[in-house]
Amino acid sequence: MEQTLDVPRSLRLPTPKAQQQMDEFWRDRQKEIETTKDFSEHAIPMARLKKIASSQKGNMMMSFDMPAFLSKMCELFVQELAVRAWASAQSHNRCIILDTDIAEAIASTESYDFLVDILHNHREKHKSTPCSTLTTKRCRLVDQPSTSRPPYQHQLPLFAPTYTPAIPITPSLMPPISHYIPFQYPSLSQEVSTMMASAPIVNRSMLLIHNIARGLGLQGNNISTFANNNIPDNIIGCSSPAVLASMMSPALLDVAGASLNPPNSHSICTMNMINSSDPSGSSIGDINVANQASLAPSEHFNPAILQESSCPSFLYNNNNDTIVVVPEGVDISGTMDVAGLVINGQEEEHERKTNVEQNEIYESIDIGIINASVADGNKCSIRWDELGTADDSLLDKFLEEFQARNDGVLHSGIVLHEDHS
Amino acid sequence: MAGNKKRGGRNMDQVKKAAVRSDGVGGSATNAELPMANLVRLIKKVLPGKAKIGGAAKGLTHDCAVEFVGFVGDEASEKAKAEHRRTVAPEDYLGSFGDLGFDRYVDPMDAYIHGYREFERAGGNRRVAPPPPAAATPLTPGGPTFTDAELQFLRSVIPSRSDDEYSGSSPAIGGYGYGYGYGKNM
Repeated sequence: MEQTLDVPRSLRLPTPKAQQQMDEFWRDRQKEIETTKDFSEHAIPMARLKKIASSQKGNMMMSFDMPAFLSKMCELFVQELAVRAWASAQSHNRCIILDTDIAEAIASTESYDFLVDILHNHREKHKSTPCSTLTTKRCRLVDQPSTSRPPYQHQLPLFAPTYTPAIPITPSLMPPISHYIPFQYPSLSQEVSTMMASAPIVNRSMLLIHNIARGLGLQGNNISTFANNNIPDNIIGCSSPAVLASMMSPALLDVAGASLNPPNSHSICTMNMINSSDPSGSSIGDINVANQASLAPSEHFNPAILQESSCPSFLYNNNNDTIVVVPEGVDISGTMDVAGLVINGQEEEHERKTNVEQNEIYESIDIGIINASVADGNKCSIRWDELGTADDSLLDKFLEEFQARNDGVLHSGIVLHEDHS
Repeated sequence: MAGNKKRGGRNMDQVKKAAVRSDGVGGSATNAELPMANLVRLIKKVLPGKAKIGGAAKGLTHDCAVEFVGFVGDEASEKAKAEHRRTVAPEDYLGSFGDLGFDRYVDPMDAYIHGYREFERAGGNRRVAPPPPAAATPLTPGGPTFTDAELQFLRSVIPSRSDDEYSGSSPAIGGYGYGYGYGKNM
């Protein structure tokens, strides 16, 4: 009876839709296998497949690649069977695949004839004890997940240590290099900045020294606030034509003064000699020397004041005129010093030429004033000595010059006494 | 001739089936079991999302798979015996597919076995294990100086890094220059 039922099922021909599905299935499987790059993952455990394949005849051995081959083979079989069963289920308008659908698939495929016996066994089981089969299936479901989980856990720790040590190596090596390379440049820039900073400091210090010297010179001049003292300052510091023009008027005033009051002319000469020491001290730049120069005139000013107290009122008017010229001269002399510092060689030559012109002027004055010819001569000699000391910058020569000035002052004092007598 | 061979094959199948009945029952009861979850996962890969599988269908599929492996395995082992070989190879199974009517399996399984062998030659699962301890051992000491062997290993593994190490020495010179500059400042 059963055999007769099986025969008509086997005679059924597959529907064209089912055939298309199967063709599509095999194409997809072929592509999947060709594109596979990781052969280490197997859906079905290989150990059990070994047991099944070798349980029939244990004498045979397997090559190293057989377990993977069996796993893939079983996978393809299960999927093919499922696709055929799904086709039969769809033909009955159902979305659930039942064992009857699988039976139809087996019956419709000639190569699946070896499964007919299994179908018979399956049916016998269902007919005899449906409840017992359900319980056995539940047990299988519970056991299977536990067996599948452990192999995944073992695989994870194997891969983790291979990658984790590589990652920290990269940041440990790269960051220090990135830190060191840019660090060099700021150090170089610091060196350059320090070199640049050092130069202006030196320049500033030089400027300060000169300013101090000039200040001391001015203080010396301030002590002698009388008009007679201002004229020699202009003469000494001047080198520009404007100042020379202003010099002419004082020279005329001197001549007029000399004609009126011969004793006053002597006082003017003595004051010039005293004032000449101040600029020499400032020019050299020694603080101690400047102090000595400034102290000496103060001692000599006492007799000068007494003498000037006897002067007439006309001389006071002359003093007012000369006072106006003084600040211009002082400013110009300051600028001259700065220019001299910047350009040493050329400026020195110009200074010498201007000094020669000044000497000529003094010669003309000497001719005008017969009484003070000796004093004028002393002035000329002092000027040349001052220049020599400034150029050579020797202390010994300066000391000799200083003694000569003292002698000059004494001579002038003697002359004054003779004039009074 | 061909027809006779086919019929002979079928007769042999029938004989095997009779033998399998007794062996199969014993095998299924004791050893022949596959994880059901894995089989269900494979089935759902090739079916639409709306498809569902009944419990009885799952059990029947499992039994069919076990039978299939044994059936093809017996055929392949007979081929090997005929050639006086005690080791069964995938080529024997490929031949069995043709004889048993599973012609569709030959091409994909042939492609699979070639790919698998190339994978093994390039360094399969077994060869992945050795590298980690070799890489770990030189990193563990981490001393101030490396031996020649360790340096060669590091250069082979990270050649660009070794170049960075050489450039790393220049900062030391830079540091010396910085000290020199500091001396100038003082």
